[in-house]
Amino acid sequence: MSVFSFAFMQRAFLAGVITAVLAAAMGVFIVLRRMSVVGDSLAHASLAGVAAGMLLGFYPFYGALIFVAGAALLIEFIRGAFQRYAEVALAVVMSGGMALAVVMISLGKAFNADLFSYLFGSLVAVSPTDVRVIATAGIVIITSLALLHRELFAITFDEEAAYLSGIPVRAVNIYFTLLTALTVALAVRVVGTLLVAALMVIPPAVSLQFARSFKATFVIAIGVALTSVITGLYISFIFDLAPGGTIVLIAAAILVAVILVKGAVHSWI
Amino acid sequence: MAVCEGELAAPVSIDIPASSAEMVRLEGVSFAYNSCYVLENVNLVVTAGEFLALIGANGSAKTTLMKIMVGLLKPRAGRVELLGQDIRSFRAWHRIGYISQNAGHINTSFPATVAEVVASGYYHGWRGMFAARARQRAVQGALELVGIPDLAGRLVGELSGGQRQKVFLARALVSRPSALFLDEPTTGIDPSAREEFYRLLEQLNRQEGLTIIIITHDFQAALARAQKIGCVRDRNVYIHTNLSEVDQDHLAEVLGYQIGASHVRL
Repeated sequence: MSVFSFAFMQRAFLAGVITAVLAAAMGVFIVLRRMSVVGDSLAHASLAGVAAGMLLGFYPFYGALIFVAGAALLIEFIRGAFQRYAEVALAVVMSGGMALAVVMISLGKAFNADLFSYLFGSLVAVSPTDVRVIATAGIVIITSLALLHRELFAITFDEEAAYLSGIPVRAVNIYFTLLTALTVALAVRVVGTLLVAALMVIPPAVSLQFARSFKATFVIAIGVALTSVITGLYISFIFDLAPGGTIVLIAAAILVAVILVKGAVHSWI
Repeated sequence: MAVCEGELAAPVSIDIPASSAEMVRLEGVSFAYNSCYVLENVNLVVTAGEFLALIGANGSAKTTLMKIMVGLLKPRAGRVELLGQDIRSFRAWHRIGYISQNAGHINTSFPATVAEVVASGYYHGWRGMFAARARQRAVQGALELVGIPDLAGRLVGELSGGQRQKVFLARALVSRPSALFLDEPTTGIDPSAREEFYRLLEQLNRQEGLTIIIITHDFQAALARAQKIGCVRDRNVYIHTNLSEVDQDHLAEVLGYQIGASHVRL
């Protein structure tokens, strides 16, 4: 009751819940396509966009979005050139993005503290503008997934077969890359650059432990993400902890618990 | 002498009466990996209802040939037609089914049920989005066709190799295609499941009139059922229209070479 009496906590819960659903839903595809590290690379690249926004005086989310989208397309492009060494693309983009961010941060020394909130997330500092942007982007992503989930499933499971069933694989892949970029840019505001990948990877990882269908994988991942965000926010408010870190720690605890329980059940049966 | 080696032979041209519906037509198709030509001036026509088995040594470009037929690879030269249409403008993907060589090597921890995997082969663009019931019926029909309706709710990762192969067959058949392309579909499957798989193909070919083009090393099982044998060798494909007319020494030579080759590989 007391938590929701603060407007900033209402915004935090709203932004957190939307981001949890998006990150988990996108995360299922990202994990199954073996692109878990991509989220991490993109999140690092986003920091350069945030820094650019602060330096040049525009809304940092847009900076993050532009940089992440650029980085995502760059990764796709480099992946095409180094098909066997796709990690090369990730390393280049991650270190390049961080380098750019560091240089821009050193140019504008004044915003160090604000930037810190993007590194580790600052859900309680979410502004009404942030909530509007997160909600709008959320609608775009959820609608896209609702319309494209069959195509994405087919491509994720078997890209060649998907192509031969008539799916425009290349176009869908590029669109998916842009959706990933959008999700990362949103999640950066909520849990921060360093924890984005965790929010996208841990809930699907939990779900993969015991889901009995693809549909169930989604539902469980979203449930885990929501549980982590809601309890994480609540606990961080009560004990005055960093919300981003608390959320991710709870998600990680759920994963560990599920693995232990699964192991125990297997050895018991 | 090894049958699938030797100097380049003159291309074989096949004249097919215009009345029969063509499933595949290759005209003067050549293909090279880098500068090494693996197919040169291939001419081939497969008509509706045929059962064509493609055989050849390892590395004789059988898979390449099949991938060219379905448009996964673009030839360096020549023309490819699928179901009477130029492959470059071909859009009727629901009318062909394909099982790739790697189909058996799926990620076994992928969290998808048999029904979900089979449904992924049913794609009708934007219209398909509102066809949930038709899709469900098609999936059920395909599962019944291959004889695994009771596996619908199982995870694909938990199935045996033979069962999984039937799932891929069901996925390839879910849109009721006119032609089925199979690239060594029975690799890693035990002999009894293999025999059952070929019986199923034969039944689909005889009863449903499905055109089947299959790359295989299972000579006995496949050759007994195929109406045509295509030997891929010398950068070309040589079609034998009637198994009984095939020179028996030649066939024995191909089989002998094949068996020998696989021993060497193993």
